[in-house]
Amino acid sequence: MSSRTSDAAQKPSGDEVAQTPAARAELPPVLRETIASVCKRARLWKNERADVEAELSAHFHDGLAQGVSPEKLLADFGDVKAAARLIRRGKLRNRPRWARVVRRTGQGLLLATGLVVALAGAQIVRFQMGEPTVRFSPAEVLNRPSLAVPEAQRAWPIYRRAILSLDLTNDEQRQIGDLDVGSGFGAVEPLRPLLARAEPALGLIREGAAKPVLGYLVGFVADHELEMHAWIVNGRQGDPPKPTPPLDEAKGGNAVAILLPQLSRLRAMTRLLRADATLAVLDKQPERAVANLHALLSIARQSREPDLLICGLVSAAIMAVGCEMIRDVLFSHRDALTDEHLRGIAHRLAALGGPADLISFRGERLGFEDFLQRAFTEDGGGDGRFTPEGARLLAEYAALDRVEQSGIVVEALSSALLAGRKELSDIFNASINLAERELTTPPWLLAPEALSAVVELERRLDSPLGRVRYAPLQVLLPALSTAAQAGRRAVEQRDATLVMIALELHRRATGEYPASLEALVPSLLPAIPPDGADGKPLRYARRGDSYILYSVGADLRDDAGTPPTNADDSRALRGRPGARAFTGPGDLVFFPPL
Amino acid sequence: MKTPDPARIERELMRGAGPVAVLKLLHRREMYGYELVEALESKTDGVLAMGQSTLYPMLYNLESQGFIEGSWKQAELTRAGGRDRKYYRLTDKGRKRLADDSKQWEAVIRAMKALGIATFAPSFATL
Repeated sequence: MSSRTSDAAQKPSGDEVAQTPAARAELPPVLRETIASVCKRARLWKNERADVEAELSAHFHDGLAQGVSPEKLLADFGDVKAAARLIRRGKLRNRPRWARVVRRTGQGLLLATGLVVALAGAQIVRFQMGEPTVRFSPAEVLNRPSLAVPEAQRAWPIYRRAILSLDLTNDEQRQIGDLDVGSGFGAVEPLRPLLARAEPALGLIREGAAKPVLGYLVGFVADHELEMHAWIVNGRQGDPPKPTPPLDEAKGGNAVAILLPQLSRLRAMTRLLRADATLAVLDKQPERAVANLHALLSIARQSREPDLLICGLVSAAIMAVGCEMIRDVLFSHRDALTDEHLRGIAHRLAALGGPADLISFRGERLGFEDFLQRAFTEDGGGDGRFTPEGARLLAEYAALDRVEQSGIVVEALSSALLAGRKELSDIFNASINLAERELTTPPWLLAPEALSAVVELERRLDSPLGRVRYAPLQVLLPALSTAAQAGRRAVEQRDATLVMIALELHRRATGEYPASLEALVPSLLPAIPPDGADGKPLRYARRGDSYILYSVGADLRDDAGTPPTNADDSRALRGRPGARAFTGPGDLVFFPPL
Repeated sequence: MKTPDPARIERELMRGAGPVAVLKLLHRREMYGYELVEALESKTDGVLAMGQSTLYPMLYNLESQGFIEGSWKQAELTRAGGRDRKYYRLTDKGRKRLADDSKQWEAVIRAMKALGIATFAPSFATL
């Protein structure tokens, strides 16, 4: 007997395959077509197809041999489509395991791809349909406090006149800004002619500084008159500046687009005041020097308006300029100012307040709320989804940080990963809350969990997924911890300056500096300011006819007032304790100047 | 008693009865497709008659589950003569399945009889 094996039955050889069409060819056309139709519809492998063809051919031949008509055979066969479907199903089950695995995997992939495409399509449509609702203007909110004050009480209109009266070129103003009294106040001599030309402006600046508020109204259009003045003063180089076209605030009036040109103007004024105060000390004109110092410290207070973080940081920088000026006077011309002058300056300095008066995050909250209202839909419950306008806005903001823009499809798909409005708002506010706590709580009183929350939040935002999911925070969340530290350090420097003034008053009263700072309390100081790093009293030591006043800095190590030799260490000493490693010893020295 | 119209045998019922009927037919000897069609028609009075569009997929399914095996045989060796045919025979696994299914069907029929639905309990040996 020469029967074939069952394997052979499942996969007929080439001979068998070749035999099948011949067997089929002998059948009536109607049956041949039925077999062909079934096999074609069943979409089988070549050997499977040959097997089915052969078997169905044999079946019909058997029927014909029994005398059954082709029509009856065809009627008994049943539905061709159903037969093809069922035969395919049966044959698929007979395929080797690997083939079934491959097929199932392929089907799975196809299904997954289909699902992904469908979801992506739905996401794109949903994204495109989203429209934000703008409910407030950040500029209007920021300008409210200034508008509540009568114009006569605002400093900016006077400062503006001062700027228009100043005929110093940018180079000349830079010379004034570069003044370094490290080698003595005589360094100001070359600036004498420039300062004489600036005297009318200085008078106006002092007048403006006496006003209670700055009163600068923020907007989106540059002050063309000021720009033209600068162009004329600087020799009319290039084309004259063109007036900025008016802006449709509903579309472009976002918080990031707000112009703050007053900040650089105010800094330029403080440099002018410092140089003129230096010259006044040199010329033994204490009243003028003190007037300039008072004006400078008033500008430090005024520059906190509007309520934005950048304004607070500029205010801190201006206050630092004033503190350095006072320190330099006390170091090299300690008898230049009277006791009354020093007391007046001390009061002015103390009135500048604590870290929370200096640095405010309210404007950052406002700015982020503005972004959310312009970038997300509003569901009525504080949540919403990202919109094409949001993508455009984020790209515009990111362009400021030189982040490349992406296409609308990428934006739409990225928006699926992007956190919702509420989550972003919650994280942003939680970050600000942490920064406010860091700003108002000395590091030695700050609970460890507060710092670990800051670190955890930074890690979360900086993860690969976090960079996509929280992209708006990456762009819009400022360096909060750094800002908080800057605020604390500025106040620490201010407190150290108050100690220097008290020490000088003590010297004048007793003929020498005290052995310890306790001698200043309470007649000259309400309390000894704490070292901003560890909370212990500010470090002080008498050195001959002078003294040293310092903080141990963020390394928390008392190096006897030795200044750091490394610039990185110098910066790190001002930071958060434990945040950075140090390469060598060093303290944060307030006095004497380095 | 009137013979039920095969067309009236519900699809689900056919789906359960068809495979066990085929296994039973192959219990005694190997058979090819046309033989099976004829046997199902004649031995069940047409009740379990099925078109080829149902039979062959069923055979492939039983084959995939390992209950039957198919093999091609040379024309001169076949009973009917003239052509190659694919013969199916029961495997050991198929035998066990047939035994299990037979018990279940007998239990069903006994239950139907107890309910007065079936009036006699035919043995599967009649197939």
